[in-house]
Amino acid sequence: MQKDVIVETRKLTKIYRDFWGRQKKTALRALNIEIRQGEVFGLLGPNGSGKTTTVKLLLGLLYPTDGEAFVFGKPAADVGKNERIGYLPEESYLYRFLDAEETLDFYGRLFNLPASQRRTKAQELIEKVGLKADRKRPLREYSKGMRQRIGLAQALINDPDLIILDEPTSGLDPLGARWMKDLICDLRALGKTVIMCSHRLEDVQDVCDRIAILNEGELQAYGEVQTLLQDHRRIELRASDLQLSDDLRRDLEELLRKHGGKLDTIGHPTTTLEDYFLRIVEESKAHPGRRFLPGKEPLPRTEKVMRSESIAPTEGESTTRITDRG
Amino acid sequence: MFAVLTFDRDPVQYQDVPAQLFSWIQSAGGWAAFGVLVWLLAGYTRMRAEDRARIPVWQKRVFAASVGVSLLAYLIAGGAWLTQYVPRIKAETAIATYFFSLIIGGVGALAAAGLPFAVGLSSLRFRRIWALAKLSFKEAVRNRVLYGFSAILLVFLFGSWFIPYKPEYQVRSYVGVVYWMMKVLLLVTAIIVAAFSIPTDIRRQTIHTIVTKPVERFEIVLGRFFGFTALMTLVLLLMTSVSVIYVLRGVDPAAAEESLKAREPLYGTLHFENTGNKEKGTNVGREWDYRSYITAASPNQEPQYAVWDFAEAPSFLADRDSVRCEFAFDIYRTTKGFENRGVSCKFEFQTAHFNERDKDSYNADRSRWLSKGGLFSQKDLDDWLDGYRTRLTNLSLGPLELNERLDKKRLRLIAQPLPGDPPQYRLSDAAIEDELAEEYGYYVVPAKDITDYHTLYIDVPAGLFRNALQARAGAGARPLLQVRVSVTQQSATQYVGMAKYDLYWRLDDPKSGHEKAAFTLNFYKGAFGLWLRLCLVIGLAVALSTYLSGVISMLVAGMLYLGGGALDYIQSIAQGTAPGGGPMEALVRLANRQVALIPLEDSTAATLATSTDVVFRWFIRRVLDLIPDVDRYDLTSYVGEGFNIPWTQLVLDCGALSLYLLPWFVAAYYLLKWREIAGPT
Ligand SMILES: Nc1ncnc2c1ncn2[C@@H]1O[C@H](COP(=O)(O)OP(=O)(O)OP(=O)(O)O)[C@@H](O)[C@H]1O
Ligand SMILES: [Mg+2]
Repeated sequence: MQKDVIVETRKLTKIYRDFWGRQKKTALRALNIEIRQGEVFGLLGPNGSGKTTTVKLLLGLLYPTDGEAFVFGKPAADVGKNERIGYLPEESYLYRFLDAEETLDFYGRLFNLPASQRRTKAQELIEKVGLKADRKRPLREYSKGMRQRIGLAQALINDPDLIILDEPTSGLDPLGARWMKDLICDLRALGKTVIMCSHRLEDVQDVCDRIAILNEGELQAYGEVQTLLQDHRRIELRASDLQLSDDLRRDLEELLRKHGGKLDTIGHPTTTLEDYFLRIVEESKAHPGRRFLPGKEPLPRTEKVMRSESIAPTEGESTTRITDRG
Repeated sequence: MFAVLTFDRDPVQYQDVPAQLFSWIQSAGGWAAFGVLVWLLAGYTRMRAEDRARIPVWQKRVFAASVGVSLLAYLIAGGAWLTQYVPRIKAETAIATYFFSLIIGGVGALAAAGLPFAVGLSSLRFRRIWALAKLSFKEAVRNRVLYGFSAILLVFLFGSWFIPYKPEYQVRSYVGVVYWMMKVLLLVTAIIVAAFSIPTDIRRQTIHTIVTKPVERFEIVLGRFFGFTALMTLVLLLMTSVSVIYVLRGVDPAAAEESLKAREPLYGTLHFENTGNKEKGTNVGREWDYRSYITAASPNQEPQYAVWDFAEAPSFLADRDSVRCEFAFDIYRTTKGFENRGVSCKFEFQTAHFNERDKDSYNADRSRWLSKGGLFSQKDLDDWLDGYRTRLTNLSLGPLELNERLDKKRLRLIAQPLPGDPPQYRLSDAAIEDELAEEYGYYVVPAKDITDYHTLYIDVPAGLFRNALQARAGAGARPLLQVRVSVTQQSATQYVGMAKYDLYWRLDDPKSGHEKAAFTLNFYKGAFGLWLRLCLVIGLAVALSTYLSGVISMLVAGMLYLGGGALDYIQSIAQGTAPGGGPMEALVRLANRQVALIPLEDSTAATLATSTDVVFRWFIRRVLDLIPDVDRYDLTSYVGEGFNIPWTQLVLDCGALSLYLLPWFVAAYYLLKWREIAGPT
């Protein structure tokens, strides 16, 4: 086993059986993956493809039908490994009669943290996940997103080296999703290893270093996101301070033909809805009291905001897609 | 007053412990062997080679050795059992072999089954268990479980309406009603709360965030158990405190005077004389043969005696003025017409030093000294001392001791001189009785009226105990102290029924004035019995719920508890002593319309039925091991009748409960460990 491999599965297989031991469903078939120290690893796949099953096998919540899983070099059923793991379940299943502070205190006790450390850690995490105002309310009153946040705080109480997040962005608004993704990147910056399951591809694309794609319990693709997503047959080129004109198009086509290529498309890039949404929310914060009135233009897109927004593309930027002729 | 404590079985004693421990080892060991066997067949064979390789070698060895020993012992036991069909082998040897090899087999099986459990215990951490216990506590409180307990208020508000007022019943009824209400409320709540906690945790998947922390799964079981137990303990303490105030204030002063106490009895052993059977008196045909009956002797017969032997008595009794002997007998009348007149009995108290021939001289002395009107001249005292000297010389005492006793007595007799000449000395009647009792080791109440089922008493001069506790010169093998009861001639034709526990000495001082305090403490001790039952159902329900669903756990725990209440009956079926035999035999009887007490006639059906019942009984006996003996924890009658609950009882009950729960917890340990928490439910 390589030294920096933190999670390893060997032919990991899970067949769900019913009470009488009859086979019902093969949820995972002979999975072989390795997850390395310090990376963000994405488990991808459509609903029911076996992502959650994999995670539960790694945590010892399920026992493999065949094969083995090792975490920190110990078998998955070993309790000791949990000292260094943080787990956010698919839905935050926490005790609904506790409030945020009590929840964190309780989980802190399970890690044998001394009282003073539990208190400071809880305050710090509550602030981090933005629940300061709601920290005294019982969890049963929390919204889905708030539960997801306290769930994350709970997963970080022991300052874990490996954080396993099952659908971390589900239930979060785009702002929350962005916050979550930033947080994951922060964790990576701290040298932590993160495993996340998701079927929200843009999330995975934004934060994951490496991914595995599952379908029907079988591994379909596995590797670095960059490599997997690169389309080697195409070249993309972005330029700014240009006017889109027939002249330009003609010049470019000629230039490309000289190099043996072909121009596919030329035009303004569209932003993602996420970016657009984020910008709108930012703007509304900057101009309190403004709202959308029917019949009027949607919120004006002022120069100032555009420039200050680093994620959004600058006006006038255009994208060119070039296809290799060969 | 109706304060009679009857025992279905003898109160528990330390000397019963080894026998109970052995039987526990046999039955728990049997189950452990069964568990190990199932695991070997179904678990070990299916285990993957990697996992097998992960078990430490020393554990494998210890396990294999234990299993080997156990297997061998069980084989020997089986062989010994078969020898009952071999006529040449002595039965005693076979039985002893059978018994001991079952114990050794049990120990081996327990060691094998308990080994991984014991190893697992070492990784438990108190702080995590505490956190989980606190969580369970909070959960129950915040889910408003406690509101249900306000139902006890019903008793406090309306209790006096339906509790009979008669002073002789009042305390017993109050105590009974209050305990019953507490019992029902607490036990039902405890079973429900405990049975549903872990299954709900699993169903809601809240347990996922716990088992993915460094938590041993058994810590969850213990946490739940301790959390709910703590909660129920607090509720019980509160309820008991309110209840005891309610009882103390609620009962009428007359009833309080009668029954608010906690007698500490010193029991003896009972035998009968001149009834034809040492064990039993006459059977008067009452259906319940708890008591035996004696009656007055007809002219040419020896009088019948009920005799209580006391092998020992604590020395502090000798320091009192008098020691109270209490008794309550059953009267069986053969002639009508004297309903309000009691039956009269003669009570003789005698020590090991008492000489039967001195009876006449005792009676003569007694009437002589009592007739003095409390004033004694020097000559009277000298006469008395002379008589004493004569009897002492018969005892072959050393001269030193003889003189010492005489001097002591003289000093006591002249303790209260009266002024004047010639000198006179005052001696009260009680002091005279006391002196005589000490001198002779004898005290008699020639005729004491007995009323049916009423606790009566005789205050016996403590001198009797001073005599009894002297160095036992010449006492031989006689018991330290005897109480001999006979029915007097004037009550001929009446029968008086008595049982071992119907007569006793009061170890506590009835004149101490601490009776209410003693009652209060006793009330809490009685609540401790309820507390043990609470622990029992909580432990049982939590352990069951590691594998079964909430509803099923609740039902099974509830049924085991109720089965415990009917244990005696189930036991009689298992041992084949119930009239009418087992279920198959009963069926045959039903079909043929046969009476239960007549043996079945020989038919194939009958043989088949009775042998099916043998197998059935074997299964019942195994199931019996699972049923808790809940009645032993019910101490209500002690409190209600005003008898102190011995600490021995509480200590041994704790032990018995631990032994009962231990195998359940071990089973829970494995069940939860092997269970796929996120698996199909
Ligand atoms: N407890 C269970 N019993 C039986 N089958 C199960 C159980 N849990 C999951 N499955 C089955 O296993 C397969 C994989 O489920 P899994 O939850 O791992 O999917 P997933 O990739 O996490 O899906 P999603 O994106 O919806 O969360 C599914 O077909 C599911 O029906
Ligand atoms: Mg899932």
